[in-house]
Amino acid sequence: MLILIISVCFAGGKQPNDSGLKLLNVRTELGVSLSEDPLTIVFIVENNSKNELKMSPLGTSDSRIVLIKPDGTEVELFAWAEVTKFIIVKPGESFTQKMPLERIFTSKALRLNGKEPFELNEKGKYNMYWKIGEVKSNQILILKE
Amino acid sequence: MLQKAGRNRAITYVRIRYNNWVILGVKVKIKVLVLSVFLLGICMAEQGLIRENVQLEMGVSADKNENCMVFIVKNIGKDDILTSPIATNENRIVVVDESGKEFEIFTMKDMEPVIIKQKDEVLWKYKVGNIIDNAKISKTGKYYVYWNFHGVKTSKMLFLKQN
Repeated sequence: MLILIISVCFAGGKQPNDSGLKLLNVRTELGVSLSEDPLTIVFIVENNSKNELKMSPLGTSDSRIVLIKPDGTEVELFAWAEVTKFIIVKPGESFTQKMPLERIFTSKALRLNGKEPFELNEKGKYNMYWKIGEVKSNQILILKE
Repeated sequence: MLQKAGRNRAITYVRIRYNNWVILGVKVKIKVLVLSVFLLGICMAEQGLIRENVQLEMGVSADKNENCMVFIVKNIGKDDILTSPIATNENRIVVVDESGKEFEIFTMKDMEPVIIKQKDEVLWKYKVGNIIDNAKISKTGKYYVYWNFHGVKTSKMLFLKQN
């Protein structure tokens, strides 16, 4: 069975910009869970291609959560990890991952320019998206007061 | 003596009746004013006056003690905008289910208008739990929510209901 590498076979849903790969049949989407309290973000990938999809878990390696700060700078949540258990999404299936919003904002894995842990204390409007390789999801506005 | 007392009582009665009518008159005037402002708001939306003059943003609150959506409107036009709070009158939250069926969350209310002055920004919050309750969401699946502010709509945001 042919397993495609994420960076080759992903195609984003609504792209924040036109950069990155534009490949068909795979869709990434960011949303909010109606089943959890406190507020939890859901990360959905739909594989509409004919091949299996292989990806690292959320917040590791190339599967990164990106927060655009009120001043426009981008902070990424990820940890380099030697992934031993990849997520496999079969053709025609989707896979959902979740993370509480508070955990994202207080994570020790937040990095600025890929370096050292970074703390988010600034109040204001943030935008968040999910990035897998070069592929980006839709954005969600988050208000920190 | 008795005649005088009777006359005083009659005068007092007339005064009270008169005052009541005055109070009632003021109340009616206020209601007419509120209604006029509300109708003016609707007219503005229908004429497209609001459409070009607002910037809408919809998202969620990062506050760990809240499980809220946030709705932010900025007046980027030259005139004041008259509206009412979120989920009332022409300021509505719309939930779309997987079949495409839309459910609007709002109540029609006769109330004091919210005035958004030039360059001002107004923020409303709405609990995610209230969306579930008011839109009667019980089935699992994907739902999309958007904000319809006097006919101006935001992009849709995904909400996922699981077991």
